[in-house]
Amino acid sequence: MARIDHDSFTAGGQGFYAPTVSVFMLGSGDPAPTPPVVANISPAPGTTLQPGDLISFDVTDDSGAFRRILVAAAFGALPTRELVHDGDTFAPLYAAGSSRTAVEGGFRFVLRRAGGWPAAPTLTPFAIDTRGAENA
Amino acid sequence: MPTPISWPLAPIPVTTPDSPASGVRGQLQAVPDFGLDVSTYPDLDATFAQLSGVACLAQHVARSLEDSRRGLDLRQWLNDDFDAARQYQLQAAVEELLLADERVTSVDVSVASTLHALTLTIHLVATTVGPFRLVLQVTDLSVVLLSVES
Repeated sequence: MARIDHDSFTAGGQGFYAPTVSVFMLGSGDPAPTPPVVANISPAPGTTLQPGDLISFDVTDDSGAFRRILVAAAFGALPTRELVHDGDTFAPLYAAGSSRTAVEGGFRFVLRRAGGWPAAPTLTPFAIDTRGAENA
Repeated sequence: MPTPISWPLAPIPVTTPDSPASGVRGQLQAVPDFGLDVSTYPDLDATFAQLSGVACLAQHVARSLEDSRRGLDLRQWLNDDFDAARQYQLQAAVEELLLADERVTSVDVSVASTLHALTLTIHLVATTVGPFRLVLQVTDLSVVLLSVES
């Protein structure tokens, strides 16, 4: 909370107002929201995949309510990026064989890419809950 | 920026006609030699990902069922009066088409139709592995490969 007071003073025959600013920090009544969590990743990161392997993971939040969950994919050194899931639907390359199902506090994603993974996949889930907290 | 999750990828195994049937290249035996192709389903893969194994055969099958020049176009069967005889005709046509592929030894097709969609479940037995199952959904706009299960 900020409060601005005015004190007047005179200099050179002219009257001035000298503002006094007081700043009060409010106590942290609301704890920082717990961000969503990505867990139960299968196969474990670093495991060598075959091109047709499925990848699954859970995105959960203590509130269980999300503003949006996006999943992006990159493939090794290939100069391309894919939006696997836009929060509503899977991209066409992932529509056959992928799923997003509700689990306690969030969703389980199972991903399968038509034609397989073209190179080493790197997935980035972006999960934002309704309080604005984003996964780490 | 959330933490990315990464996995290394095994090299895509490619079998050749002179691959040994057994021995040190045992890893290759798990993947049937159905050729090598660029993924074009549902559209040309922007990464030009290469296909091999069952996925290669599955995409070929799906393509042959949406293009009358290469087989038949299932979309032409939509909005048809699907009595038992018509359904049998479609099953027979699909089975005949797929059996013409030398990689396929037997086919079993089941058809389910609703007002706006046609769903075909195709059980294939391929020459070296199988069986595996494809599920296609046909609408007036598209033929969608819903699943491939082996």
